[in-house]
Amino acid sequence: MSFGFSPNVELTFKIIYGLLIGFTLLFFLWKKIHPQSFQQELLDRTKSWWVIISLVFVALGFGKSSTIWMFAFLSFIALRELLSNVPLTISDRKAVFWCYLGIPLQFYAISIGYYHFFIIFVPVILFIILAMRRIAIDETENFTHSLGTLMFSNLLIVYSLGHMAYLMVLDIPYNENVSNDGLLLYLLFLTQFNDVLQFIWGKLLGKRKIIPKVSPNKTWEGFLGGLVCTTILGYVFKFLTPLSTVQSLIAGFMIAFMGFFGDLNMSTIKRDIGVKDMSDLIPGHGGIMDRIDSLSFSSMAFFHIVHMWTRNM
Amino acid sequence: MAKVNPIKKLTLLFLYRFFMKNFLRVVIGVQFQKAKKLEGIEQFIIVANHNSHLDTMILLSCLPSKLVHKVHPIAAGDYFNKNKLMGFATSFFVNTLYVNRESKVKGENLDFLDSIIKDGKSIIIFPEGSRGAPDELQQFRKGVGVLLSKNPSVPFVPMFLDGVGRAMPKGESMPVPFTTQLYVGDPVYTEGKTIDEINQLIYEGITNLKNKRE
Repeated sequence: MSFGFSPNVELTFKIIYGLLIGFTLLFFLWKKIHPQSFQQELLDRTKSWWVIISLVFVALGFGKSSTIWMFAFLSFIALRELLSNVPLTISDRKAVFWCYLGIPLQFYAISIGYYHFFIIFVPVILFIILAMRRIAIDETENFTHSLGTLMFSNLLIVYSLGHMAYLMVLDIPYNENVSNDGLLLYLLFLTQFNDVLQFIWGKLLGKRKIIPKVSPNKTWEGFLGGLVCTTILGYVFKFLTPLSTVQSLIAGFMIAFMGFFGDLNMSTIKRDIGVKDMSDLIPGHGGIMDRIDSLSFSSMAFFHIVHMWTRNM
Repeated sequence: MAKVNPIKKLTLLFLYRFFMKNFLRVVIGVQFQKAKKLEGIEQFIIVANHNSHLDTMILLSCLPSKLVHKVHPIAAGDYFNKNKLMGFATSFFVNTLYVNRESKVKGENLDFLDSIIKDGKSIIIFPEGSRGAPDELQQFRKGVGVLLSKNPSVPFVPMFLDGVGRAMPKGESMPVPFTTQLYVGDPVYTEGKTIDEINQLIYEGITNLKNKRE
């Protein structure tokens, strides 16, 4: 069954499922052979990965619009998760409501490929609308704080997931191998696998802590190991994209670097508001926000370098 | 036991088990705790904190299918039953029974509620009496204790709703999505206890669920 994927996307999915099967078997064996040292969390996480990857597989398989609306729904759940956890007051309710109204508009603009609207909607239109709505409440207390929180949340979720969705309609130089879903898969796979690689390198060699207060588990060894491996993988999976060799190396590096900071960004927010996970929707991972943390930065960085390069191709 | 209109029964079943429950889950973000504990019990009184009109919707949606049409939320007649149409619509779609909070006749409401219980019906009651500010418990009314002491075979089931006051507070007509939790306590039998002890148990039942949420 090919689901209408291009050969390269199909190959990438085979590699991803191969890795997934490999990790699942490894953890089952580990649990059998040495149960004392085994952490159940690893297996929970792997099980959740099966679900996440299969959802992506199905959404991409059904094509452009199903993928875009999957991101819209994901934005809604993630935004609700974040806005329910950050300190907001009853006076902010109306402005929060408008944040949710913005999501279908943003993703509709994406689905028709209306780049100009998509790129200004959150930072310009929503920015002004939210301020106006909050002013109309006639309550000055926490005004600056609330609007800051709302705008930050929208940029972090609706805008960044919008960038991922827009990869599906971006004008790129096509050939029989390169397709929009390949580009999206490249971003998703590299960002998420970078998390895994950082984790593995950190566990194997990690000694020197980078930023102990924000995230005690992040080490220089993990970060650099992930960075190098992901940069190489950026080149290996170049066949999914229209990028040249140098461009693919830069893209891989960028994804790893930005993914790392996206992850730390979410950790900082969670420590600031005093929660461990945003929700318990995904077993082993936490909430949606805990899973897409790295993507929130890497998607925008990747999108804009690709956009810049492909415009002149 | 009074006969239930089959159309009403089907409507309530569809409305709460299918439509409302999924709406609350997907759109508002309510996380339901299963109320399986209720299945084996003939009759019970659900007591919960009250911050929003959504409270009643959530409590009705959490009930097992067999019970949805058998549980009556007790509503303020002076608010919902002001005109005939709204009164009828609320009692048809929400299965409510009315008490009059402004009643001048002493004990009238209690006698009415007692007759409902003697009739074999289960009820949902908010001991706070009306919707309060989000995340605050108001002073509990004493009536539920009286009711339970008159009907010792009927247990009360404490439930706690967390965060509903943000999703749709008093005075607002539009719900806004906010993650919300429903906590279901164990049924408590109150045979042989005094009215004050029962009221204390109810208060503890709800506050224990509130403190357990962390």
